[in-house]
Amino acid sequence: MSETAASSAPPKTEQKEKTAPKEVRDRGYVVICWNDPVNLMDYVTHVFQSVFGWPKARAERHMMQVHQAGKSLLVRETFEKAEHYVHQLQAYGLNATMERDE
Amino acid sequence: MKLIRTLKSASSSGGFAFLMNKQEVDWLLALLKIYPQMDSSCHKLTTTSAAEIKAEQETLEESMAQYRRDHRRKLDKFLASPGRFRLEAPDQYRFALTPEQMEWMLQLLNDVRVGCWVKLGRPELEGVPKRHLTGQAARDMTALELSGYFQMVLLEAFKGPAAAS
Repeated sequence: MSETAASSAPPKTEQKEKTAPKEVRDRGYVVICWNDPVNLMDYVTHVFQSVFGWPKARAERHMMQVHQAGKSLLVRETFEKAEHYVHQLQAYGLNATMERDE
Repeated sequence: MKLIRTLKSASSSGGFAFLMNKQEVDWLLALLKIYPQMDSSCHKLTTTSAAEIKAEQETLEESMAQYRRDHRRKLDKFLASPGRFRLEAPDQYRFALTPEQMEWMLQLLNDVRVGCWVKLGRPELEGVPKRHLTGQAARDMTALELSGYFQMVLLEAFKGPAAAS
């Protein structure tokens, strides 16, 4: 994450026919934001506030975790909600993925 | 580029007003002209085996591609609006944005910044030997740095006039 430093609503996730089986979807999923050297620290904080509605202190805490630890677990959600958040975060240009919570 | 006004009223015509010189206007327009820079290679839904969620990966890529097409069209309309950069004094242009447009502008600029970084090969930015960059790589690095500059101005403006001055 670069130390030198959202429309428009983020895009809506288009509902496509899902292929993953239900038992896979019902498991918990985590949304993780990964560190990179390009997204500005203030920008990442701003995106966390915008996407999750977090207060600034919480957004900054997660941003610093990304910066220092290389990643931060942002939320635990169902498959669909986690997918929705990943779409939102990636629309903002952040390096975010969803992973099974094992 | 300097924040000159912050309006809190929801009924106001604009939330933020900036003064920019001609060089800054040209830089910002040059950045917006090359939007988007990110593409489907920038989007991965998960780090693990994606075989079981192949459809969702495709949905993510299609959704982001459509999102960028929509924003390119919206941006063209936005820039075509008369008086978008209003000359107020010699070499002083007024650029006004609503809070929603500020959010949008941040996303557009970050797309350019991240997309150029990807095209440069995702380098660590500290210590990049910029003097050795030529051609398209030099243009990508310039766009990356300039978009970061404008992002910082907008982010400071969100914090308030005192922070932005």
